[in-house]
Amino acid sequence: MNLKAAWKRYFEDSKYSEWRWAYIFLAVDLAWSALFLFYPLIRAFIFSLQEFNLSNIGNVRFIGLKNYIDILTDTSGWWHSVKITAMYTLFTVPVNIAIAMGLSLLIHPLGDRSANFYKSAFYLPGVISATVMSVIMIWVFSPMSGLANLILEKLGLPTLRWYGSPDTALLTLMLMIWLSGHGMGVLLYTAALKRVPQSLYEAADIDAASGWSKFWRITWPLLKPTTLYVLVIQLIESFQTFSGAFFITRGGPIRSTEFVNWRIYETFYRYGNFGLASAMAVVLMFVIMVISLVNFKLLGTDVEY
Amino acid sequence: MKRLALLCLALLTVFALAGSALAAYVPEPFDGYPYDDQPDAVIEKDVIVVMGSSNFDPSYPSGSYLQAVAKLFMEQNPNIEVQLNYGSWGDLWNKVGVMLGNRQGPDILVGPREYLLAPGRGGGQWEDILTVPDEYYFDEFEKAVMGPAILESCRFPGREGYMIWPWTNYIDGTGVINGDMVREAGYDPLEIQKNGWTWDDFLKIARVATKDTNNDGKIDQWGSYFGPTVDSDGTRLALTANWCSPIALRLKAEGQTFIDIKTGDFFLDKDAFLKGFTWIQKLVYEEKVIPAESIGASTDECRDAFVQGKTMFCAAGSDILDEVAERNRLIDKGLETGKKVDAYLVPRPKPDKNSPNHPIRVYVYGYYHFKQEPYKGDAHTRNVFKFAKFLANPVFQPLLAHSAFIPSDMRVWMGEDAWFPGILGSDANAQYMEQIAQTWHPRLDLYITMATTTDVQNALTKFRQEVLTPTSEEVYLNKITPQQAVDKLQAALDKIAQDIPKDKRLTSEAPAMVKDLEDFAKKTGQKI
Amino acid sequence: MLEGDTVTAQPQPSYESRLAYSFERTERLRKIGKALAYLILTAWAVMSLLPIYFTFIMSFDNLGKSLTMRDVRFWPLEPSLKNFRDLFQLDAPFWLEKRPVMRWFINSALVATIPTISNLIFDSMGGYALAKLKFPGRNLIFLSIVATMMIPGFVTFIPLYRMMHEYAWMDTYWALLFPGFAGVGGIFLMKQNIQTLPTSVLEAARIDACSEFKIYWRIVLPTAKPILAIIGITSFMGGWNSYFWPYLVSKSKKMLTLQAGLSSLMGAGISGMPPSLTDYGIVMAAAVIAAIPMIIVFFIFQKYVVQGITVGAVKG
Repeated sequence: MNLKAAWKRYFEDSKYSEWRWAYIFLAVDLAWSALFLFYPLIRAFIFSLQEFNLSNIGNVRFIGLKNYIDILTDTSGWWHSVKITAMYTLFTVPVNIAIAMGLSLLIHPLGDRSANFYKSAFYLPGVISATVMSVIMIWVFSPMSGLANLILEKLGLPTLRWYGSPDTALLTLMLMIWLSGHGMGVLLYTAALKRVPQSLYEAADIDAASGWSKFWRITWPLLKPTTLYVLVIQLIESFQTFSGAFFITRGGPIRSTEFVNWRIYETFYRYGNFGLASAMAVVLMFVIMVISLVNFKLLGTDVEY
Repeated sequence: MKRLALLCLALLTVFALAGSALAAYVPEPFDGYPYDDQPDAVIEKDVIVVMGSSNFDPSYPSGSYLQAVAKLFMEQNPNIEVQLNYGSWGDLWNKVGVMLGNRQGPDILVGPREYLLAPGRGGGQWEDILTVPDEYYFDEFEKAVMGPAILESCRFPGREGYMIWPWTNYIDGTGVINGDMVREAGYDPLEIQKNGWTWDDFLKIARVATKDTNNDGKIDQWGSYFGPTVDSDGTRLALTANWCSPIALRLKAEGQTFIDIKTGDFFLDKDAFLKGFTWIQKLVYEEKVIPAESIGASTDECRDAFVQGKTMFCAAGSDILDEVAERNRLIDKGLETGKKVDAYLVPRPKPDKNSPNHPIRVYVYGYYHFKQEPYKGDAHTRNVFKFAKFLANPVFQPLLAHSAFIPSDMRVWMGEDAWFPGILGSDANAQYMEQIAQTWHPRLDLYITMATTTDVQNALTKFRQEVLTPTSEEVYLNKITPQQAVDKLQAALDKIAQDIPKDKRLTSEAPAMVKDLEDFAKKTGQKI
Repeated sequence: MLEGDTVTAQPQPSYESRLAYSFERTERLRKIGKALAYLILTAWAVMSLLPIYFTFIMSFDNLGKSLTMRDVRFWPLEPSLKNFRDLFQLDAPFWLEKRPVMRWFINSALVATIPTISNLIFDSMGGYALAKLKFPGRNLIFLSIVATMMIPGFVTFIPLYRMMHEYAWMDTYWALLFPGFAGVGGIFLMKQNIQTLPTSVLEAARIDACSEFKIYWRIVLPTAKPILAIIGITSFMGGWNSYFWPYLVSKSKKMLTLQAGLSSLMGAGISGMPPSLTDYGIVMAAAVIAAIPMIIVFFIFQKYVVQGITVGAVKG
């Protein structure tokens, strides 16, 4: 049998050819993820079952589920940080998606040139590294002499303590996310909006549908896959939020910004307790996974048009 | 949904199976370090990796120095390549953590013992630190000239020779005052520097300093800024150790260890905490000499405020003098506007006239070498030590120090004349720093870490993270009274004491640690 | 959206006058809405761009060593190129080993571009397979790939470090390039977007006896151009901005990237331990140098976002 015939037989005519193609397409991705994702992940899982910290690296022991039990029974520590993170997620993710979608809906009808200008303006803050960005943010929101307080003062409003007070620290970190960090969302939504066939809107115009119902009946369903992606990515980012606590508040004041990921980081690097930190990470992974699954269920209908 | 849940379950099972299968495999514990002093085959090309923080960068004088020395060494030893690797302070320790987790510590690490072996790190990294072979440890002459404090910093509690070489020092536990403001209140800064001052003196000066200098109705000059509430200026200001006079209490409070390693009892120095907390609330909310907005401000902001002459006091180490000098230079050149600052390095205020000065700590930066798995061979180890000795060669260090190669807070250890008054300059601050050399002590909480079990360490870590820091912050922010805070701390400590039985608190090394501490106190002439 | 609810709540009279009124009002509302839209967008854009602006002006401001940024200023107090001269050490003595800034720059460029190219190819292939092909294990593969995104990256550093050490990849480009070879986020994004492609188009192609690869190459890729551009931007920026991984696997400073080098210029950072003198002038200068290529790349890809859409729109 010559090569061409074999090709035809296995990759074109067989009822399994679709499978084969799928695995060919996925081969590199699978090999890569096995090496750089699954292997470390499984190792991290192993660490989570061990007593593995810098005090006993010469004497690592298997201790079963003890790390997990320690975490799940730790009401003052772990669950406190879960609460803070959940609150942060609840207030940032929907607001962020609404802002990104709103901005893209505003940008969408504009001409190409001004649309590009705004898209760039929203994306460009991403080019500054997190380190430098946080230096600037510390300075902008400084309770003593920051730009934010200067503006409030000029407007005749009372100044705020921003990240210096437990009442406003979490809010300040949220504000930083609300004000910037929509670049990705705006790009995705504007791209998705352009893919919505114009004919659907024309049809709706004939039906004299209002703008609102046009949005809910046409735009929203077609934006669903994008929304699902943005939602899951934002959920992951927000559950793993870290840089605000790391660079600015260090988890304080009075534990008001003690995020889960900050706790894991502290456990891992500052206290060198690799086993416990890995267990925390695995728990976090499953928390995010369950929430994402629910989202998939709610938004994940395959869209065909 | 059911299918997805099933898939999720399948994924979990896969992880669990793979995990447990692999978890059963535990590598053989690594025993011993095979340095046997036997000649090996000469390595054709050897690479030594030296890791440090940003002070390796050529923009720091110490970095230029290190690079110049490494270049010279490589010229003399063409078969050895020295690679300098550095990152920011936080990144460095993160990387070291990952490396040690893989039992792959760097050949040489530059850092202070207090950080490398910090209680939070389990105090256990010592397992991987090489015991320095005798031929590379200090000889009798060197030991004699080093003085008890430096020597103390160079050894690991209970055993000698884990640090290859002490290199630079960083003075901590001091503060700086603005000379002009102090004189305005009728005090002499030189007198304060020489004989110390009390918290009442501090308050009197701060009251005079706190005012509205440009008459716009807003106070713009303060006694001090508060700064970060964790690990830094804030805790330095409110440091409970300020209020403890006997050295034993100071040691305990400074390390914030809350356990007596002699008896294994948990304790809380209630009186000191109460006084410290009350005083802070008084300064911020009653006397208003510290702006409440500055609670939680960054260290940089506090330092800058002092450098710009906005505050009278800053609880910083000697390195701030360089910042002041730089700012003054810019003003001289006309690049900055404002008034020059006349800064004096002083001890922290003390409770009353008769109590001794607050202890001044010195972090000694040194070179550490780590065991590595697999072992790279004796020849490699010898090369590492050769480089370390070369780096610390006392011959060219005074020259380099003299040509301002090394900033004043990072002076090279130079034997008997550790501080070289002539090199530092002859001003009051230089003389004071020289005087510190006689009274300093290294941070001793390491002893307490070594003397306690992992259970105690974990419990105390959790206590600091979840009770001590937030409770202190509540006091600073005036949310609770000092008494409530002390009660809270006591209750949390009592709970720890209940959870950990007495015979599971101290390690077998505890008696040796106690003896070591007592010996050290005797050597330096301090009372226990 | 902007026009608001214009058609429903009207007083009745004749159809013609109703139509005229409605048009007039719509026109007016449209104008107001447009002005409002511009206002909101501009305000938001200014807020987003402010940090970049501050970074730029600070890099040209002679802040002075060891002094952090001070009072709010919107223009450099003393404009100079000193920070850039210091970054490249143009005024340093001849014997001093210079910071290899150019080498860092080249490393960054490699770390950003090569994974970007491989990402574009393999993410789109994987995304297409997961979105439109039916095969056993599809959901499991997709789920497990997405699951790996949900674990904080740093807990996997210990095994990854070990791996790099065992492969003798430390201090080589392999260690820098391989971990970014493909991207989970990219696969996920690709899958989500290819899903919206009408299946009928693919079916038609299959009936025309196109092979799967041809469908992927001729139909899927062109329609996915804007998403490819977004993946390109993201993975380029991800690669360019990564700093801890390059630092972790480096032994010599020659193998650092620009961002890792920039980070090493930051002083004490955390807890006030020495050295705490950060020269923010140099840091800002380095940030500006690091930002420029990203801005350029962003605008290149940005063009494709627009171009690709016209192609997609015709098809759709």
